[in-house]
Amino acid sequence: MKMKAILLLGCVSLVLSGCFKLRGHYGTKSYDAVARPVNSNDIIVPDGYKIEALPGSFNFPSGITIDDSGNVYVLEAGYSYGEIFTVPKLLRVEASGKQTVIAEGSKNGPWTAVDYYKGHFYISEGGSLEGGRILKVTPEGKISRLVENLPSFGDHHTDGVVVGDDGYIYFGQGTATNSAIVGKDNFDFGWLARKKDFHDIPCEDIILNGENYETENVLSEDKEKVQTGAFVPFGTKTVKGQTIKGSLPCNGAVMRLPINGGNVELVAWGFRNPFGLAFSPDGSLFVTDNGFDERGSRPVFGAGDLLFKVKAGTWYGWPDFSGADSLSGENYKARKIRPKSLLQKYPNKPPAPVATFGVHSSSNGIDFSTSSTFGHKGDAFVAQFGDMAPNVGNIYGPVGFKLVKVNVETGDISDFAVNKGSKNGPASTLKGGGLERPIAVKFSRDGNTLYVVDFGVLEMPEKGPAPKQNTGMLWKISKL
Amino acid sequence: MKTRLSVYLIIFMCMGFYLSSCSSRRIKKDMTEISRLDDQVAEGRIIFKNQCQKCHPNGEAGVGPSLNDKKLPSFIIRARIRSRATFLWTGRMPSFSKHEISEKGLDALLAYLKNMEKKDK
Repeated sequence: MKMKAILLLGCVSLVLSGCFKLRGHYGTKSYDAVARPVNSNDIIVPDGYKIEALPGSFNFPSGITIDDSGNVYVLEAGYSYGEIFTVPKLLRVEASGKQTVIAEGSKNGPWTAVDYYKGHFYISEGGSLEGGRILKVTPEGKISRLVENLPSFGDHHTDGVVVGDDGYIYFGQGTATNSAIVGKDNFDFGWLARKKDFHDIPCEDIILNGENYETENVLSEDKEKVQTGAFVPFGTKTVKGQTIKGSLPCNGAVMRLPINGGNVELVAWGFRNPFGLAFSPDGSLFVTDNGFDERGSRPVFGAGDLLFKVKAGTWYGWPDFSGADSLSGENYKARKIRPKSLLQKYPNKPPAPVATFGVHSSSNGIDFSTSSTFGHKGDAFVAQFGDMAPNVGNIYGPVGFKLVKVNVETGDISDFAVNKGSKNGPASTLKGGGLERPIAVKFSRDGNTLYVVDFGVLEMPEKGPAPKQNTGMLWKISKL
Repeated sequence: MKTRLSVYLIIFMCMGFYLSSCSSRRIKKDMTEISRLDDQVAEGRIIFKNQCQKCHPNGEAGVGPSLNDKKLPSFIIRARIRSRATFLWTGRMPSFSKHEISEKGLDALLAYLKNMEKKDK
């Protein structure tokens, strides 16, 4: 018996001795620009393709679009996690690297995506301080607001604008929280102190199970205990059977509005952070959805980022499902507790995703190949920003920091541009000149060139996200 | 006799742990087109993408440890996929029933995992 115990202890020690080392905090808490070496030879792309860096740097770039003449436009977000506010900008970028400012926004970033359609630019404004907006911008830079006051003060913002052939502007609206409970994690993000009453808004009426979560009152100096339920402000209890009225605009949804403005309409809901939207060559709408984190009052372990084909009128499972899987199963248990179901009734059985990406990969911008010359016609290309561990949960190795290709028929995911080396990770930690944090992708008008927007260096020291200014850049992938 | 067997079993488990966790880390970049794989490996890759990808993206470490640098015998991998008891219920990885991954599917998955080990770029 004693021998068995010793052997077992030895075995456990062996495993814990660094073989399965969890990734910890890294980097320094500074927002200053840092030198970013650039070397496309540090990136692997499939045989027959080449990747090049375009000259010039960007400050927190987040989106890209291309006009009818083939001119490239890059969006600078004007905000980064870490609560850094800069000026959001729409820039025209020439092959020489020359940048021309087309439009500038106010202190209400992040500008998260841009699309060009019939002579105008459409921008999703994240709205950390004044609420989310969809902006229309003329080529001369005149900005008008097509919709405003979107519920975008929380963890996730107004995202992924794309114009459909039907003349509607489609966009994503992220949730305020990780899993519908406002808690200490939201205070740590910075927004709860600014917006004490903010919480998630469902798109349709929902009935709650009355689950409440106890935390310290981060809004009071006394730090007494308070209880908070789902879809209500911090410190507000809910009861079993309580109805929360749905309304538009809402959180965790894909919505749309006419090209010249008008009422916001619901397309689909039950997403968490529907960041990237794109139409496939056959006209179907796809969305990337960032999965749950292991943080906050209702943490969730092991929920991957998801790619969905959007079916109008459907509920996609948040806050009780990851894809078609209920969170109440063993696999999503975090801190030894299974997340309890918050909703008493579900609008429908949530659909399975088209593909499941790595947990915490932050799979964001998406576009489809339409060119036989480039190849992989009909496949989706997704920019993976990369994990923000350990704040989002523990991992054994860096996840994301690359460009992946997805066969939307089979769900098969393969790397398309990834840093060389014996480990995965951003170039700054690999000490190379490759990819940092890809966030958006866009094919050229002829479909033969794929542009990849790289947000730049964002480290995760103990004191929270530390984005480095002016380290963003643009990559270009084409056939040899 | 029974005690001796138990000790052997634990030693065996320890070796399994050691081999699965402490082999030198060699990450391979898997860019192979699925159409270039033989049918069984291709089937295994689809099962991997649906069941394993989120924790071991493309075989690399994520919320689970890396798989593309492991040299475990097939029967141990097979046993671990079917039952958490194989590694004494340690770790977060769930087990998969025959309903979730059929025997044929498991053969295909193992073929894909072996194929993953061969790649080195």
